[in-house]
Amino acid sequence: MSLRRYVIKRLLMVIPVLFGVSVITFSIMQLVPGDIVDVLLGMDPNADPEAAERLRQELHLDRPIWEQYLLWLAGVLQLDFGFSPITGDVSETIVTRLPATILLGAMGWVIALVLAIPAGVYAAVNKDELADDVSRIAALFGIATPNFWLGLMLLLVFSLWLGWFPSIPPDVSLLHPSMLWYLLLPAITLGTASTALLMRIMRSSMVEELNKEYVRTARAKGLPERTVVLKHVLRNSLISVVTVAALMTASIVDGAVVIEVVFSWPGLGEQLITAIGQRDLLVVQGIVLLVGVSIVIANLLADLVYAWLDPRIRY
Amino acid sequence: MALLEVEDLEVRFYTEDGVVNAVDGVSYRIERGEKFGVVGESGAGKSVTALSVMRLIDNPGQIEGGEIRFKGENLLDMDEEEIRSIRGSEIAMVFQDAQTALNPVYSVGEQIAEAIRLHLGYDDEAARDRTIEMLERVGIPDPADRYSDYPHQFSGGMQQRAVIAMALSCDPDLLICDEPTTALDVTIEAQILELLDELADEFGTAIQLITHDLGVVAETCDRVMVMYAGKPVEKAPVEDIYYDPKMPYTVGLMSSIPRIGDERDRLQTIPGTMPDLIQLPPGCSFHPRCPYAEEVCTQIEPPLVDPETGEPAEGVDAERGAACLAYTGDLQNELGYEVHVEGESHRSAVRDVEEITGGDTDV
Amino acid sequence: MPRTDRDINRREILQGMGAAGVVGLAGCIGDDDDEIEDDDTDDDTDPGTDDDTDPGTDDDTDEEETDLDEIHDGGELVIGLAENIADFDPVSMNDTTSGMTVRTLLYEGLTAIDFEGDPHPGLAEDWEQIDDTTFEFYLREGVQFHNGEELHAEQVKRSFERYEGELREPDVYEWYEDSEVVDDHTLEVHLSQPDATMITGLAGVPILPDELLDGDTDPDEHPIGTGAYQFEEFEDGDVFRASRFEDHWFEGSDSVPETPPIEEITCQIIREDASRSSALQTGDVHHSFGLASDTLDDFDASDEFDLTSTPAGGYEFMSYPVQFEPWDNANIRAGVDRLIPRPIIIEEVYHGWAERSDLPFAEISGMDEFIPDDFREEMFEEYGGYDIDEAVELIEEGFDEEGIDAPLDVNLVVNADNDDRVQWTELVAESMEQSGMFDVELETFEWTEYVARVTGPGSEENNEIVTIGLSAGFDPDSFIRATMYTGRQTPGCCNIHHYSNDELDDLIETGRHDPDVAFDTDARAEVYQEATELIMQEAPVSFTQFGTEIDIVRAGEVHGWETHPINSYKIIKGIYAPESDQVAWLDPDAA
Repeated sequence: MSLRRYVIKRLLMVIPVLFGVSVITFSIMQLVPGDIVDVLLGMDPNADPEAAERLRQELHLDRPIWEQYLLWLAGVLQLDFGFSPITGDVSETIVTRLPATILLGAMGWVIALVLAIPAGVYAAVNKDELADDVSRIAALFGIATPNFWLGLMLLLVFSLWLGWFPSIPPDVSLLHPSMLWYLLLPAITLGTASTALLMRIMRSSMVEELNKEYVRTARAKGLPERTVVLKHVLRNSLISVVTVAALMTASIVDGAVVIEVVFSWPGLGEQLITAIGQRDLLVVQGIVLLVGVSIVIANLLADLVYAWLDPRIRY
Repeated sequence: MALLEVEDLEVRFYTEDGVVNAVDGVSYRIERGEKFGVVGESGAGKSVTALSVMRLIDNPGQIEGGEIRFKGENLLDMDEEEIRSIRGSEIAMVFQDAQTALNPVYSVGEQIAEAIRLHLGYDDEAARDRTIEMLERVGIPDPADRYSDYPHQFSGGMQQRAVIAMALSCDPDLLICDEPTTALDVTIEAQILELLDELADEFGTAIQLITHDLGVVAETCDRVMVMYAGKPVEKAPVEDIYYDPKMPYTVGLMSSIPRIGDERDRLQTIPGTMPDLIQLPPGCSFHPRCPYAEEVCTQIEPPLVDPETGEPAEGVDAERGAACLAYTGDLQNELGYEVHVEGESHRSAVRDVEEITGGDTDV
Repeated sequence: MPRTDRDINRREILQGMGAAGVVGLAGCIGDDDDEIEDDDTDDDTDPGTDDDTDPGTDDDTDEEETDLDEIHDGGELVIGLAENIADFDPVSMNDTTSGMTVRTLLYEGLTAIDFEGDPHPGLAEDWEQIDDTTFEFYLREGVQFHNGEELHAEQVKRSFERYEGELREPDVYEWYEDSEVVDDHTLEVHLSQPDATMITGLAGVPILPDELLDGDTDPDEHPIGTGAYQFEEFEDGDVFRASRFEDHWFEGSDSVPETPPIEEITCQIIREDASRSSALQTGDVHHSFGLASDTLDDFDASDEFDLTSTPAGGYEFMSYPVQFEPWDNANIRAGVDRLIPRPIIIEEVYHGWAERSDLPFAEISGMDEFIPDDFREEMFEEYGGYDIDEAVELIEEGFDEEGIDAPLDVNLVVNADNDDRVQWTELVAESMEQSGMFDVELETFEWTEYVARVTGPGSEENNEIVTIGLSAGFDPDSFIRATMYTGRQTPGCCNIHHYSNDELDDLIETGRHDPDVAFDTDARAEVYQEATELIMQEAPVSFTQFGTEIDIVRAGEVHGWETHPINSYKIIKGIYAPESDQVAWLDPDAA
């Protein structure tokens, strides 16, 4: 099977998963106790009955449930997530917030990769030596430290005590250098747990690969140790790391929810908290769907990278 | 000056269970273009000896003593960079299992070209051309097309050919082949051995062939060293080993050579197993398995001596040697066996070693 | 009036009212119908005089008497807000954050209230009461909106009528019948009933320009008012910006310049208390509020910050399930009231940043006028205070009357997401247990669910003591109406357990709407004293403490900041309140 056929097959496999995601997301609305319209209108006993009726129409609540689902899905496919009585056009809300979260997530992710891979390699190459022990302890702390606490501590130390970072986002565009500088703390906070996990995976995968015979072959060829490790071993080790890195997307997304609040970062996570607080269910639904889809896509990308890294996958 | 002179090599592994004397006082030499066989069961120290020559002993292994002189220079004195310039270029290695020896995520061609670029300083294209040439030379059809294939797209035999191509790609003076055919079936084995033989002659490469199979040695080698429990127990030109093995262990190995058409398990060998290298039995390491062992064998460790003269034969240059108390005059009884060889030469002969019980076997 | 009963929306309930003040969910009283005009016949607020009112009424600004020459003009004030701005339209906004950033900063009403809750001329430079239900307002001439339009009477009429059918309808329709435009600058307003709170209430009813009234521009998109600041931009959940409106009508006075010294206002939305606190400490924001109680002492003690505070209108209370036996017994309720360890709550939970509430009216309700000290002491002697012996006696008496034995099983409920409230509820539960009269179960709920439970239909059917907070304002009416008036039974806010007492209802109505009482301080005082005694005896609900408004600004960088008791007036009154001679400015040399 060629790479292209593999990709097509893998893409087709996404469809049932996305279907599942959409059904689960759709059922958020169905599972809310009480009348959904009342809830959407904020349990306001004085709510305008006309508004309630309008909302009922909009959500097609008079139709059978499968029709409601299909109508909703048709809307979602056209990026129409509905109109919230609290915050208005949900798509617009999401689109305003999305870039900030993508930037934060991407930075957190990059930081995790940039820190974890070299650290994991170093720990593996120096297995059972001091560096390995240090990395093991650091990883333990990284995994065990709650994001929320870590974020506040970083703020306290680097922003309040040392004054290296502003404590609130500067007033510039998202990609401005000083904004990226500000984003470093939240991104580190976001990336820490993932870094720790990834580093350990990288290390164990690397240790395993280092014992493979092809490593001896590579050394027997006279390749410098650097080339042996970074060319031959790394690529093989990355195969298992990629899977974990994709799964990390989920933890990065949920980490973002808390971190955005701590760092006053106007992203989707912050919006999600607000929306939950206000029972703004259409927004919650939209964000949850987006998160679900992004995790599916992350896994898809992981599989594709996997196939690229490991030629055996396609067969 | 011989191409390779290994003198009194000692390699130990420091494991949690204790110190393993993996190689203990091994000496041998290989001349230019010569094919030298190292024979023994697994764990005898053959591979460790070979890896020592490559300086590829990993933790917890340590080369503790001796010298490995390649073209007169002690490899053990070289720094990492010097030894790297020899690895793959002047001394190359063919490993036992080509499937695992190749990196699954790089194309076969790239893995060969890599060494060529490194040692011969070729650019990408020249390295590619030479790689294709080498692939062709080892008998891979459509080498240009197969260049970018991945190892898993090759059959087992082809993989081993590719590994051989890799080893020979920089025209080494010494090729160490560590059980190069074990993973292959018999017909492929014959082809590969023939290929090695042919290429060694063509390139003028010396071969150190490591195997547990005396039959393979018989096909290929000029001289042989038999190892047991980290020590050389017999050294001899290949004819002598075949026609006149001097060490009971060698004799045992011979009887495990499969005969053509023989359906018996090919690795049916000498009764018993190799001793634990951490706690070697006192005296002759082989005595627990030796049918001719006597009381004295448990007490005195037999030195490697010329079986004719009883003179010490532990040196690098010794041609003939066997480590058995029978040749130092310490044994009361004779070694009671006879060797029958049918056929014209050792290379194609069907051998039959008939064991004659002799002496005290109850040790 | 059928409308009277739906005049407070449930969102006025305070999710988080700590020492830190009223944050977020309260539609504050300075701007709704519960507002009182203090006494518009009083000398010191004579609307006929010049814009500048008697400075003698402004106790709050006495500390830092500003000299116009000292004031530095210009600069950007950065404020850390705890909540997002949820709504830009004055007729529908129901949270104080929207109030302080949009309604009171960008818009103005016909009147302006000062720090005591007294009304002053706003967009109306004068007004006249024609009879019990008719007022004539004389608009200031030459007032410009941010878009250049001029203020005229028609806009006022339309701005009032825009409230009809909207969420904040009661802000206007509690008293509004209709109005006539006499000329461009005169409007005659007819009231549906006399209302003691109307004049101050007008301060919170923004007047909109034709551009918004005609629908050419959506106030949600671009608010346009006459206020001293004009809208610049808003990034949802992130930042709100306003800039000084150079053509504001105020012409300057001896102590207040004609435009605010601070040129730009940037509100950063920083939800997390700790993050906001550190932004204040790093100097990334100049001003913030709503910080955790336990950090306030540190801010107060630090030289780097100026902490200003004032007793405020919010209160916390417990509502007894009067529909169930034995809670219909007043002795038992009054007994439990005396088990509330108020001094301990203030000290331990609020770290001193709250006010005791032994009587049902907080200081800002004009207590000294309505409830003179001697009466207050008398009431306290008789009914008030934390006294276990008295309490047990009352409760035992009640139990005897009801024929039940101690201990009585009691459920106490509270919303889990307000730490302070959970803590004081626990203290109350502990005190009730210790009396030996009760076995208390404490149950917590998530906020939204809690609101639905305690203000939704059927809230009176739950046999549980509810603890919650509510906003109130400058008028005594706002302290007792919402929780005890029959017309305020749920669903709605906030007669949670459907307490009903004709005598009390009568007093509540009379105090605000009786034409012979509503505009007469002495008559009102009598009514509210009577109500106080009745409430102390009946204890339909117990007030546990009154809130405090607190602002923290960076010392040396912000000068002259004052804290207004009403949360939704915080920003504008803090930096620029001509009627109160209040002005703040930024020091260009500091940090």
